[in-house]
Amino acid sequence: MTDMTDNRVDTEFGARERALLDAFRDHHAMPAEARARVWAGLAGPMGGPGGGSEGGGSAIESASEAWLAPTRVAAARGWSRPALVAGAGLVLAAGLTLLVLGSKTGEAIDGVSADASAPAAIEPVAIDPTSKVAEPSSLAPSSQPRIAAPVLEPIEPAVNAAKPITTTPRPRARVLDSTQASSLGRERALIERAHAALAKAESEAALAALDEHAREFPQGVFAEEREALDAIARCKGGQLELGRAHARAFLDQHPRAVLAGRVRRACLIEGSASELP
Amino acid sequence: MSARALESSADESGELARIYRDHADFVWRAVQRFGIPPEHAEDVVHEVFLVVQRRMADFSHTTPRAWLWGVARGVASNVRRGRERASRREQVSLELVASEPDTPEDHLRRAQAVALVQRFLAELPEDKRLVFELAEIEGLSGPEVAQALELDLNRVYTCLRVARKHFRAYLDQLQSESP
Repeated sequence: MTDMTDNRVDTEFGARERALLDAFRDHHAMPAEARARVWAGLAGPMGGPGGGSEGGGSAIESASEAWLAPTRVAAARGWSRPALVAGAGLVLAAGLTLLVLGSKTGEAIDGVSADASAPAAIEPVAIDPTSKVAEPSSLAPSSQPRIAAPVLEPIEPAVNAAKPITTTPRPRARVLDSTQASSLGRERALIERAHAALAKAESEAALAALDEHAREFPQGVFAEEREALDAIARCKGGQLELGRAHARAFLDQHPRAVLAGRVRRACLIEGSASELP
Repeated sequence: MSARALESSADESGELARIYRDHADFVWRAVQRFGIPPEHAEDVVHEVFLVVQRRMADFSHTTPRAWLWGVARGVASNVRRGRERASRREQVSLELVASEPDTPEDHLRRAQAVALVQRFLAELPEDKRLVFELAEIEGLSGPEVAQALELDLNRVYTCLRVARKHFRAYLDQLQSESP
């Protein structure tokens, strides 16, 4: 009996625990826009997004796609997305409602539920101010942020041993081959063209770019974005009924998509207060 | 530039791309754990990967996240020390692709999951919390955690075992008390 209890403690977490922890990790993932900007700053001088990659070889082409989130790269390979929805659903299935939490964990809940779209701050840990740091001179004034000082608390010295526990790193993204990288570049260019056209209220041009994408990459990595932009372009371009139909289909299929909010606003779905142009 | 130099540059770029793609999220969370507020995390992540770029030769393929954790800790420490002399970077206007929650139900579910874990972590002692976060949220192995935190491996296992037990008990308790 004792052994069984100990085994439960020492073994990997079950689906309930795993789903919650994965949901927490995904919630604190680096936003795609920030990821793209940082990579642009890193890779530009090396021939990445800012430096052009024509004829640069597979490594550079692959590098130019590095801003893609691991989940997006996984999608390119037909893998399933992280189970944030499933994880959050498990929470509900387990009956762990906010009402229950609210009576016990008011502060923690308030801190998060106020705006779930903005990740809650991660609890800071101690920084050893004497730790060896990589090249202080690397902090160019132009990119130095102003921040609050973190709490400095030393970690206690080691204690005696216990039974080792196995931890298994979860699989992460894989490397794209050169063909995939080139395709992704072309896909991205088409989607960005549509996006730029929408920004200028040129719905027809946007739809043309999206049609081109659909013809070339019917099952492309950016198919989700294409569907979203298609609905937005139609709703904003005077095809409101068709646009709404596309929007609803998109939202049914991708309820957690990054662009879901924008689709709702553009097509006035579910009480969105946005106005049509 | 010679063909060899071009090839070398391409290899380096590809390697950096792989590191960035696989570990940017990890570094993003790590710098915030070192006290960098979310609104400044992007800048610090950039600094971290600039260092990575320069120190590619030191990059550990066997324990990449432990190595990145160390770099992130160092950069965060530097940023903290240098904040007084830092000039504030002009805030770039962000392209707000989609900032609102998907639906009220999704919002609630996401908030629940995050709140549950957040509250649990807040109640854990510092040492156990760090080990738990790196092992169970970031997916580092025991030796990687030990290297990142400069702890004895057995200490890591002890902390992890205790934290796991607490997490299960925490969820069991919430579940048993829910209507």
